[in-house]
Amino acid sequence: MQLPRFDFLQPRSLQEACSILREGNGKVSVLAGGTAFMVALRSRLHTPSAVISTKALSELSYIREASDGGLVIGAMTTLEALENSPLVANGYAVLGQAARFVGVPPIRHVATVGGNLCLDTRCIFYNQSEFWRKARPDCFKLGGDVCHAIDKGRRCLAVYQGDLAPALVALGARVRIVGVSGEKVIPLTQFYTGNGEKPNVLEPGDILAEVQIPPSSGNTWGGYEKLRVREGMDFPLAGVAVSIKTNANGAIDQARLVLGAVAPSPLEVPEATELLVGQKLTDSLLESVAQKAYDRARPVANLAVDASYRRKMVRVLVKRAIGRAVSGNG
Amino acid sequence: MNKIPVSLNVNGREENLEIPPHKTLLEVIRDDLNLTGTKCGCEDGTCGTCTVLLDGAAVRSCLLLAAEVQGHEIVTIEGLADGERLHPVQQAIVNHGGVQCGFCTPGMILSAKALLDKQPSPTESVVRQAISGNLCRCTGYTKIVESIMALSGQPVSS
Amino acid sequence: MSEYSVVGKRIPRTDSVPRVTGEAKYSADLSLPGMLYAKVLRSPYAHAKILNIDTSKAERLPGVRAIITGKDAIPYKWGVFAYTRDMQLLPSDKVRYFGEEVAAVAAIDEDIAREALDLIQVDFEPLPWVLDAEEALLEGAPQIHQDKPGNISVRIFVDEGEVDRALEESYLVQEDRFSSPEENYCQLEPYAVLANFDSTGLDIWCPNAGPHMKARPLSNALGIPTSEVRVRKITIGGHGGGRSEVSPADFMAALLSRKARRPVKLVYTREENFNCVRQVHAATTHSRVGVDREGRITAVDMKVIMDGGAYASTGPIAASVAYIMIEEAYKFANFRYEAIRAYTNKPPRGMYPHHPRTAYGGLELQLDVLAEKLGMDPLELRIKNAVYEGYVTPTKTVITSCAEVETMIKAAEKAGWKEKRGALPPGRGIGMGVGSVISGFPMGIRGGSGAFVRFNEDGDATVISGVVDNGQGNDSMIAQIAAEELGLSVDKIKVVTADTSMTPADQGAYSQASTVMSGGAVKAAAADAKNQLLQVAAEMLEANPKDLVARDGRIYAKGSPDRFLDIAKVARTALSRDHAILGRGDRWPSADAKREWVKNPRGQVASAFSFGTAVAEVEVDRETGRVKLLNMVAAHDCGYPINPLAVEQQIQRSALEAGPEGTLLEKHAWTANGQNLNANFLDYWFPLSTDVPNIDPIIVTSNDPFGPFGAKEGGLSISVAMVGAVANAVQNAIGVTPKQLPITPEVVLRLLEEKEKQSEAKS
Repeated sequence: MQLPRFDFLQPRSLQEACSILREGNGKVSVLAGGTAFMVALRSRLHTPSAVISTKALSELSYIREASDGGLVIGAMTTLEALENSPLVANGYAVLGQAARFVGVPPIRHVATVGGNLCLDTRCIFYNQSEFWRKARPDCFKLGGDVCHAIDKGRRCLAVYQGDLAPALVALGARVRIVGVSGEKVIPLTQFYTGNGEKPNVLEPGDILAEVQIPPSSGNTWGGYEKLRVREGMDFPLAGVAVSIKTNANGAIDQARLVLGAVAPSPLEVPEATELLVGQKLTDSLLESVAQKAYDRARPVANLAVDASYRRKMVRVLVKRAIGRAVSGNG
Repeated sequence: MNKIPVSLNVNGREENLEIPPHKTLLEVIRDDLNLTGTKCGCEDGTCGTCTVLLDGAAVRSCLLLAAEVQGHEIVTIEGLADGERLHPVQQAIVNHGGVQCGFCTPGMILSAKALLDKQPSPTESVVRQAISGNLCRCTGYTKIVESIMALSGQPVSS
Repeated sequence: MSEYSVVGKRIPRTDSVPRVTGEAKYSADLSLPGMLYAKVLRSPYAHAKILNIDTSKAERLPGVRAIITGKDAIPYKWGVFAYTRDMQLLPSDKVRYFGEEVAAVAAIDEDIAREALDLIQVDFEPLPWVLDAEEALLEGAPQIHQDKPGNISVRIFVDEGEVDRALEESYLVQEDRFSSPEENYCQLEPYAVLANFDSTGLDIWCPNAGPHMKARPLSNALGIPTSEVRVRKITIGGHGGGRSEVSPADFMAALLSRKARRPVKLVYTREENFNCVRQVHAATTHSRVGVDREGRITAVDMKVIMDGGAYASTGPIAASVAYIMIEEAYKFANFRYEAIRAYTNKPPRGMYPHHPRTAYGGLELQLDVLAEKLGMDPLELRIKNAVYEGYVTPTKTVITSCAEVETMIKAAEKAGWKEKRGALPPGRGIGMGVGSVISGFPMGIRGGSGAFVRFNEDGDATVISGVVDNGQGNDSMIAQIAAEELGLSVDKIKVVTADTSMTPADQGAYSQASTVMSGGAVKAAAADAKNQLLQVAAEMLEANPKDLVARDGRIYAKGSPDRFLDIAKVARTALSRDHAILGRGDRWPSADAKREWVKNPRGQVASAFSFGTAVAEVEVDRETGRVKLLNMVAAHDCGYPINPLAVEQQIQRSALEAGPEGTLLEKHAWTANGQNLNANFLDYWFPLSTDVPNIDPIIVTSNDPFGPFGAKEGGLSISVAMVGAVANAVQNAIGVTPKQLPITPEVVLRLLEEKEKQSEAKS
């Protein structure tokens, strides 16, 4: 099955790329690494009139220390670069772990940080061939007014299945978005809309350019755990990222717990922070935190495994992610 | 149909082509360059039979636009042997029975080559990771792993 | 083994080099001048009448060269057997599954062909549909085929001995119901056809397991003589049972080519290869097994319901293999087996080694439960119930060569069974499974193979055989057999196979027949050629031909290897005397010709029987339910290994198929309207290299009297045995019987939760 026809545009700068995207008003696309988008093109989930070469964005491939001691990562940085980066490993381990869990090595060689953050939401009734989809009425995400996953569902709950975003939210990351009329920096949490039909805030003309992570102190630990059926390839069926900072007494100063792949956006569990901060970790505390995460996770039946199983696994993954973090493996 | 000029470096040769912009690297390799050793097994980046080397790294050619890989060095399975002399990875796969129906084989060999070029003595678990993107239905992966481990010089688990 | 100089040697397969260089051409790699590209319009309904098809708009699209619908075909229904003819290769009246063929277009490029599909107007009248085999069998269910009341595609019934009485008198009876959804073959090569229909007839290249079995139905469907259908040799990227039959793709490409008078290539997408080639049956099995106090099986009573999908395919065989393999794996006198293969509105299901997995896997699970209740080692129980040479099964098949017990002992030894069983840490488990398969049985149409062997001027030889190589190494296998018989080295053997215009008929590379039948025919043809050559040599050496031997490229009298003639010289001498040496040979299964799958399931079923035992070790993550395979050992009685390397390959392939694929990961899921939810490698869990351990193969020999050099088949018993091994390992690890296959993490977790609830209720 060939790709749909489109023009190929090669802007010379990021600004020119933004202008083209703006003029295209949704009909021009950026490929990034293309590992997900090419598949969406082939199944005609997108039929852009033109595709922009990523050459103009190649300046966005970097991982470096920021002036405030934090980390900045260009959107075109590959996941392979992320997993091998000593800068990431040293203080932001949860991100490296999450990167290693994505797809398989040849995918990580080309897939980018920006592409992963901008992944479209997924649903087993949506990520199908054109022939398959045409056999039933269009769902919300396709512009129709039904949901095939949930009987009488009233909105789209397609799942955001990126591995990096939960880790980055746990690290308190922000993203820099470049547009025609300038740029802005917003917390990554605000990047996601929670709407399955349109999972992020990018408008035509916007390009996610950079991820900025606040500085990490020496006693910050992180852990990422992913539910998958195979040792590779799979998108997360649920994901849990945690970042924990302890003080000299071993008590928790800061903690963020974020769930992935159970909703249209990464889902933070603020109750976990409330429970953890000021405490030392005990089994019963861990149990309570896992319960809070379980309460918050409300996956629906739109992936290849049962929703109640995914929900139960959140409890398990939370314990493991925190365990991995505090054991120093993180 | 709208076509654009694209020049590709494939197996050390400069190829100047006029192609529609929506053509993938896989389609150009197979249809325009007639290098059919690169296989098409799924077209969604999951099977690995279309693996080629891009500047020495294993990538899926079905997920790349041909127009995007100008200026990079591409190696396909046809670019490995030196005349009639097989590349060591090819020879190891033959000797150890790591090939059966052969449909995964070109991709598998290129993934192995990319690994060994970077890391000449990988452990078995590193080898299994490196080929985890190449599906195989015939071998249970065992003889493929053994073939690669014979080159790595590291022990194989039993 | 030293009595042979070529067979029994571990050598790289002769077909390997072109496959590692990219030189090997598969069907999709071919092109011919003027070739057109085809695309298929498919049904968006699980069940619907085709009222009208309007192709006029599509025909006007520039670049379109031919469009076909069911009206372009002669009224012909195809079936493997005379009584299973239920499939129009391009339907004209109605469609019976989501994705079935409705029309096809050939155009000058793929984009145009695809565009043309959108311009074809089809008026369907949707009909009620049924997706579950048991529902399909209920009264009032939608009728899928008018002449098949009750949606019964096939019913197999065997009732030997006194099952009810034996079960009543048994010391223990274990009764369970097992179920499993569909699997897929997932041949890595998507189906592809190149067809060229011209004034001489049809030339066709496609992946297939039986070129000679394809030529006949194609000639019938096209209304031309079989001799005008030439199914051609091509490299094939996998078969697994799913490419046994003629495919609608073959027919559509041929018909388009006939209409356009141009070569036509049709390449399936991965989604089409998932849905529109063949799938593996979903099934339920209700099984009762009795044992006496000593652990001897007294009776088996099994009822199997198989979801056959929309067409009969190889249904009578598919519905029979479970009982045949079970009665050949274990000895017991009382056996009742009923299998009903139901039609449903799902893609048609074909042949697969371990389908239904619920039958073999279920029985193996039950045997372990019984062993535990008896306080017996499951290995001991299996040894006690093993069959042996001369054993007669309930349906009157005599087992010939048999090393079943040896496979049990060797697999157990290698896997550390005695040390590990019962001694593993919590969460770990070890399990065993046994399998038997039949080699070389008449499918109902044609069961034999023929071969020619020709000596060439250089003293090398050409083997001409109808056998096809799907990737298992048949070309290499017959080269080794011919080389041994002719006294030549393997590199002196040229192989011409699987071209129906020149190769003699062959039963096809399924039913584990290639080595015993095709290999046997090649051996006979080679012996014939050799004898002719020895005649010539005898004159040259002034010796008695009976005293001569051919070995290592030379002919000499037994006992005087120093006084020899080069085979090349003798061959040239023969040619110069106008004696073109052409040997011929054939092989026919030594089965009871009166035995028939449905009407008469009694008598000798096949020529040879292979046996295997698998042992698997697993670790279960009790919180997530994930099962990790730690170790897989498989011992297979292959008769005699023509090439030990190739036998190991087959054992390992079988282990993958039955273990991680069939028992742990693979299944299809469906929407309520019959759409396959996971026709892709992301959501259909094909195991990765990181999901499986190295598979340890053990070759066991038994020197079969029928097979060439004592050989039977490569390793298929393991694709049955490993189901039981992995399922039992999980059962051993969690202490609960998994009754649903595959045993996915969700299934394991549910079992553990149920177990916990039960133990809470008890305490």
